[in-house]
Amino acid sequence: MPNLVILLLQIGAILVTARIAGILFRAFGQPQVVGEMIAGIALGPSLFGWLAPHAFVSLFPASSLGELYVLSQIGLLLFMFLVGLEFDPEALRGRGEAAFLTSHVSITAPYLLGAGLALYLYPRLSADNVPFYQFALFMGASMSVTAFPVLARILHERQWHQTRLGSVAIACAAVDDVTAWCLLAYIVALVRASQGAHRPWVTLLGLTVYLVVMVIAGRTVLRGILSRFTRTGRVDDDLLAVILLLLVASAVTTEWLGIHLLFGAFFFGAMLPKSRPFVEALVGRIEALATVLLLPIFFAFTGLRTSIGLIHGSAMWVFFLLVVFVAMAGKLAGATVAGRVSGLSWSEASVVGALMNTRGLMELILLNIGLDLGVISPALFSMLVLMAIVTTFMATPLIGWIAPAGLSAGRTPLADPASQPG
Amino acid sequence: MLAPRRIVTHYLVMVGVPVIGILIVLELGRSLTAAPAIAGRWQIEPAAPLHRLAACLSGGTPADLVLSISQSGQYLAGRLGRADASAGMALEGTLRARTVSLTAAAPADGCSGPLVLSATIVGDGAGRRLQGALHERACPRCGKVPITARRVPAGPELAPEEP
Repeated sequence: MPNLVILLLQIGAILVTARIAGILFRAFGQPQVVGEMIAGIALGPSLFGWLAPHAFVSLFPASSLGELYVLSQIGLLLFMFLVGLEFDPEALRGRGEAAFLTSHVSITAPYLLGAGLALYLYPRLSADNVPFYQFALFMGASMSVTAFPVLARILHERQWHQTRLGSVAIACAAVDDVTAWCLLAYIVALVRASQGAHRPWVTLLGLTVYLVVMVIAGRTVLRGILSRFTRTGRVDDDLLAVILLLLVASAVTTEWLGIHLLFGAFFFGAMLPKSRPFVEALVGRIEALATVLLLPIFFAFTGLRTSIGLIHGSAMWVFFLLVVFVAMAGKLAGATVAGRVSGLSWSEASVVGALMNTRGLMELILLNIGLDLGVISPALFSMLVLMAIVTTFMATPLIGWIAPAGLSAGRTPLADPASQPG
Repeated sequence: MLAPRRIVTHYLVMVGVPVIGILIVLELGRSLTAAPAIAGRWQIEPAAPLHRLAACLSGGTPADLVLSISQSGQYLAGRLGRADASAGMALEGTLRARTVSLTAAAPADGCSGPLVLSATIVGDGAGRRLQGALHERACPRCGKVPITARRVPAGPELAPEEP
């Protein structure tokens, strides 16, 4: 069968599975993305390939996966651009210090535990072509990620986004996103430099030039974009084309510098003007294509690389349980204690901890980068993908269980910050 | 909320201590060693005819027999088959020190027991090769076929297809 026909059949199967799983999980009060992640796993060797091996090989022959990979990467590019676009420094106003403290503790605490776990897992699940420091830095990063979009969706669904807790959580997740992507960019640059793909001084010098151009020269262009939007009141086709062109230029630059193209997409989105009507109009033009069509392809591609069959034997399942325990303990405890120290009550702080524990799609992006770089092995990749699903899945019931009563009903914004202990 | 000065103090303690901990972990891990890297495709070169194992090698005894290994540290998953075929016999096993042990997940039709590949990793870096034998586990009198395996260029990293 020609590759194009196979690709179209693959897209059809992915869309059907993702939509059905999304609707099912929404019916059970879960974010749609959890259903889509599980749909991706179901289409891979772990379920579809296990139940119907011949049909699986016919629908997803190894020779056809290149096209699926390209589509999934374009989806991620658009998605990371949207995440950057939604990043609003205004969210930090008045609560920046608390957000930085809670966010950075919720990164460093799980990072330390993840790196500590690497001491145990490295001799067992890694190979000697991966230096320990790369493995440990990556394990730490994989424990530290928070899924900003899932967190924001949970807050909106519960109408908590205008409460103090909601705004602190949003600010924390925003800081977490920026910090985590900077950390990941550093790790990717480090790994690629060690593999001889890029010279470190080229990366460092190029990154400095890139940031200066984006911040200084880019602002003039970005102001032009906003003024055109203000004149016309919409993101017309020409304006959209210019924005997409600049997005591609930014992504290609960071990829060429050895960081990763997704960092360029995120950073360009973050640099765009934050006028609400402009952001909403631009999101409206891009979001549907990215989230309905392209992201499910990314989930399916991740599922094709995930083989639960690789986690076999009691030792491997013990490793998996350790990974889940460390991921949860670091995020929940780190964010809860830091939230409490920042002035939230214990119950509010633990809701922030539970929200920060959702890893979702962001974790899958990071894990795919790690597998592509060869820093994590296929079995560890599968364990970490399952961990991402478990921690995202548990967020909604956990929050429902620990949230303060007034907050659960979504009626009462929290009391004035000044009246809170701290 | 806390006063800015207290926030800074808390920040330095609560972020600084884990950062120091991470640096200590990185230092501790420098002495650790991981399993030798053998992931990828290996061309099997038998030192004797493979005919006596024909029943155990589903797909016959091709001249271009390739072993694909997916490695997760000490844990291995493999596939043994023709170089140009995506399918093949699924294998599972472990790597202890420099000894590779891979066993077919299920015996092929007409084979009394699962096929076993036992080998030792010889050499280092790009010159690494596997030296050992293929044999049928439940048939001691069938004997072993000595083999050497050399690396062939790797394909994209994907989870192995289920049998």
